[in-house]
Amino acid sequence: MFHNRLMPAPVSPLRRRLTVVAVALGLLLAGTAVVRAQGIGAKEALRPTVFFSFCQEAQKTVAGITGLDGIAITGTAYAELGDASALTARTFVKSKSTITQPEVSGGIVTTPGRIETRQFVEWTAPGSGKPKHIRCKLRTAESLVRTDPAWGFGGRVTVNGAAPGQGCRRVNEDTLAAVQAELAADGVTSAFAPNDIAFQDDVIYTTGAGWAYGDGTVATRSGSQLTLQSGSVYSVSTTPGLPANFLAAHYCTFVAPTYLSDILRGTVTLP
Amino acid sequence: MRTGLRRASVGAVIGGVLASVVVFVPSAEAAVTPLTLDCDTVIPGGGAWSDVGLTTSLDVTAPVAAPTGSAISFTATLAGAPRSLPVALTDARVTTSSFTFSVVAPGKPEIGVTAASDAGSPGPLGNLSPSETLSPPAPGAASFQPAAPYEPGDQLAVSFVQATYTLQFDDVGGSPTTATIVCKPRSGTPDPTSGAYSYAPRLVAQVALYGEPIANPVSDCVAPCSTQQNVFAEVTPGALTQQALQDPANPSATQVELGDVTTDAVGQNVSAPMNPIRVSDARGGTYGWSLTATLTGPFDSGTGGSITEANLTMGATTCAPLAGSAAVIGGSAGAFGGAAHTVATVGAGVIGGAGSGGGQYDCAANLTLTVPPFQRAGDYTTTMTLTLT
Repeated sequence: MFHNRLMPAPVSPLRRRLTVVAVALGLLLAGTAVVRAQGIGAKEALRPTVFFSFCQEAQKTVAGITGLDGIAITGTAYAELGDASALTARTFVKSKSTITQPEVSGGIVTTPGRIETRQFVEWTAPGSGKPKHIRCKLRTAESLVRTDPAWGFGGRVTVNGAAPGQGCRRVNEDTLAAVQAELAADGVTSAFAPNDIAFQDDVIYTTGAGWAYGDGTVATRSGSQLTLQSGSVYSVSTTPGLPANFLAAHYCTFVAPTYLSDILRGTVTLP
Repeated sequence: MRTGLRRASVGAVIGGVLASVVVFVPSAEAAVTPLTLDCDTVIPGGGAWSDVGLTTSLDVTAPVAAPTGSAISFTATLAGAPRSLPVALTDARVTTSSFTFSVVAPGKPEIGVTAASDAGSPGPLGNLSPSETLSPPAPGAASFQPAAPYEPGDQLAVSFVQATYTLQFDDVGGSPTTATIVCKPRSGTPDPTSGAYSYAPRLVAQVALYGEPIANPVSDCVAPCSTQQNVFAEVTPGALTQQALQDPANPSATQVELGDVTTDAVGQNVSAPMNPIRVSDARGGTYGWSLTATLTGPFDSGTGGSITEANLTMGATTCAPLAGSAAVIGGSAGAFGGAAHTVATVGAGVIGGAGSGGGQYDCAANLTLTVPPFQRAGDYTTTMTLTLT
């Protein structure tokens, strides 16, 4: 069990995000983007462009991506979780994260390549518009830097440190930091003291369907302690004996920023 | 709803010469096509929203025939609209909506047509609840002009390709942002291997091209030269009819004699041909038709005996068509007692050799009654009603 990291200074997360986006766009025009993912706070989390980019940001964090050259991260969010027994590819359970190589002409990227993430939101109640958990189908860091075009982009993607990337919990850590910064800026006292918030290592599922239908509980309370824990699937792209479409998968279940904010503000009480 | 060409003759003075000008006025045909649409919303910033299973219909009113080379106008009305995004939207509105169609004839280049609608829902700036269903857009109007190589005799297939909406809303910092919603019609069931739906344009209207009389036919000249005469013929729509023809095995065209049987310890079958039905479709369109059969009730002896409708079975139908008739589908064998039994059908949109869905068919089938064991003796009767629609 691990406890919360040090809290960041109470800087507006929106301002931080906009700054990062502006820097990233400026560098993208030059062909290379330096990527710095930030936690997403609650106040802007339901703005459509932020809401639909949650898994894209999570991809940067979980894979530890530090640079993208001619590569964009995109995401598709699904309305339907889907029935594993039904053959409908337009559902989250049937979807797969994937990559598409860039089109290059004369050394110039004419069409950016894509890291394509998949997103599904579990709501506090149907039609509530209040997310509780966000499930993301991402790609493993080790696959993205492979030179084999079936799996990676070679030097067009750079990752921070070791290729295996980071656990899903890292995104929950960033979300907590962003939400705590919002509370501090608003002068709101958290229902849970920083030392009473703990993270546990990811719960590992062996199949995508098992993960998709698995217990989505990410935030739990025990007495005065709040525990955050992600469910995940991690399948290295070189794993022998598995079908290709099961490989390079890094799936995570995250706590939604608005839900975590409500927990800390005391407007949602965990059982 | 009426098909065919109506003709009006008027006199006009053209170039100082009195000429006879005939104006063909094609009637319009409205057709409602049920659709299941899957909608994708492209969100600025690389996101997308995949929403599936919008059940709706498209009502297209288009002429059944038009002169080659002229502009053809039609209207389209979509009965439903997709859901909004799953999060609440402020200061939102649909700024544009449109329908895209494809017009093709065999061997001819495709004509793309876009029918623009009004601003759509919610119109003025407003707030949308999460996943709130947008209001259907107003009817869209469009036109296209099939020039050469299109020619008289071509049958144009107008197919619905997609509906497109532009959804505006406030985003980070209150700045207006737009998302594009594209809804495409499913073309069938998911692929059994990949699970992917396929999407293809859906036929919603057909327009037959005919030759347009030349505007200024030459009536006199000095040799070597030619004069011209526009030659007209009017084909007015006929009727869809049915007529019962007496089978030699039956006493009349309105009676079927199944025969005699003696009550026994086991069930027994008695059988006879129904009197064939001659269906004639001379409406000159491509409406299709359906002939169905029902029983008004169980076989009744009038003395307390009864045999349920389900004991009467109609065998597979055979339909003998006259030359030039459109393809007919005979009904399969089945028992009475439930839904109406289909005797024969010609599908809507089916075209025969004469360029219409018309034809004449003599449709026949055998009727078999299973008499239950120990059935009460008597003369049993029921009435079979054949309905042509």
